[in-house]
Amino acid sequence: MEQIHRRTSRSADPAPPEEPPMPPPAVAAQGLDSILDDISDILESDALTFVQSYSQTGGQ
Amino acid sequence: MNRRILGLETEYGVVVVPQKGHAGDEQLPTVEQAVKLMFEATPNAFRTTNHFLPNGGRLYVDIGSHPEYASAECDQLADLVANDRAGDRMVQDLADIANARLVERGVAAVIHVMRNNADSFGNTFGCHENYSAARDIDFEKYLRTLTALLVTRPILTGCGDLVTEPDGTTRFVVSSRSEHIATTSSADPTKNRPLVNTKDEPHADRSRWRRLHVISGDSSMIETTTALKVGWTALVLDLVEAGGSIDDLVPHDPIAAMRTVNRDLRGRATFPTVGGRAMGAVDVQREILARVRNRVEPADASSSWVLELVTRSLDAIAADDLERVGTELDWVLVWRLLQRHRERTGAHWGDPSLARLVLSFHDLSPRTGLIDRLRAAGEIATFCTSEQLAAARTTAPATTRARVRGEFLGWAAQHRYRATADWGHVRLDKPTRSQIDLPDPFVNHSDEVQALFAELS
Repeated sequence: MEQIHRRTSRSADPAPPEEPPMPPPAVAAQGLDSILDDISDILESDALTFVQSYSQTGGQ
Repeated sequence: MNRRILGLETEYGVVVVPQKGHAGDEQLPTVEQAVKLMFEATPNAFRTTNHFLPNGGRLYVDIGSHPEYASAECDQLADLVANDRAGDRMVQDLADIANARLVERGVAAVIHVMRNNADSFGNTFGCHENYSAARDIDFEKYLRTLTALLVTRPILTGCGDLVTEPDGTTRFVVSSRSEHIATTSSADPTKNRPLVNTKDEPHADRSRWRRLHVISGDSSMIETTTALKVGWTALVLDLVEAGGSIDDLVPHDPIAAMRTVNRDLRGRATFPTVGGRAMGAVDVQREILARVRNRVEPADASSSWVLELVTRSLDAIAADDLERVGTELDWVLVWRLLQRHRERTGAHWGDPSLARLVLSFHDLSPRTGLIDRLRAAGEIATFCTSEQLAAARTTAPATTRARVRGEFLGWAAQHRYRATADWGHVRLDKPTRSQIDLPDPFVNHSDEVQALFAELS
């Protein structure tokens, strides 16, 4: 299978996750929380299927 | 900002996702079939998938079965942003119609349209920028200028993405498209993707104008990022046309520097320039900003707006205070969303929910995408009013050639005449009349077209 560009493994991932080279910024969370609450089903229920389904010929 | 023609061409990704009730052995529509189904909903679909539109834009299918929308010729940033967003709405409308047909046929799948620059397997597609430029300025001069700008511009205008490194780890990068740029200039945008495509197609009188064709930028989702991307680039072109130069800021190895910039969210990692300095992305952009401020008079509100946002963004990045531009820059908002999701769930960078979250940011569907939710919640900045966005779906920009073409096509449709158009001409095919050439993209009026209206209305 072709390598997936965006990583899609779950907790069974043998490699430790890499932290981007920047400390997390202080996040003003309240507005984003309501957005994330709103799409929690989308993120959790079909995430892997969706990501793996996205395969398209390159363009320009 | 000098008056110039500005345009965007956006290639959309398409993904067909199985839904509840889908049998494992049931064949899903391919991307090609999905795009064909989408374009069956367009006028004259039996004849063509290439449509010039009354709003001045062009909707078509490009290489790799990508729906593509090319904006109308614009000379105002607000017109460009509104016209570009109109393309998103039109393409999503086609997807909605196609999805309704899938339901009618009992196919348990949904077509999603993605405004981004890579699928999940690293296949890339673009959002190309067009800037008209004077023919009498050396193209190599423009090319050096754009190279100096574009290598580090993603620290302001990247859309943010997750990529897998060769060692298997997942990393957040500032720009999706930067990962796929292989050279500074080329006429081959599919196998040797450059910063600047050198094809010389001005779609206008070539003795007077050329079209600078930038193909290294990301598909911006937030209106302010789109406006910043195009407006900042236009101001840097103004600098060159005013006699200024940023040639010394070209990196020794532009592509290596671009990869460095893409992995450094602080914009500090340095690379050598041909001017003999070691500079980071913020350094380079600040130096360009200083030269633009010194040489270019911001005579209009858009220019002042661009310069203020560039200044504030660079200051925020340099100070590790991304919240100051957290609603205006694509990559900063995606970074904030990912960080917040990780804080809430404990997900690691390779978790599929993070990849899905990034894709939701680019998903045009109001049901599964984020952008309408973010706008409604006030979590993204806007550049256009709702009225401007609505009008741009049907009305071409008033100040360029697009107005002539748009009015012609609207008039022909109203009278049920068969008409064809291209960027530089319009023609009535039934009843038959001579082709009317429109060689000057800055002219928003045609006596010949008006005479046609008078004759046949």
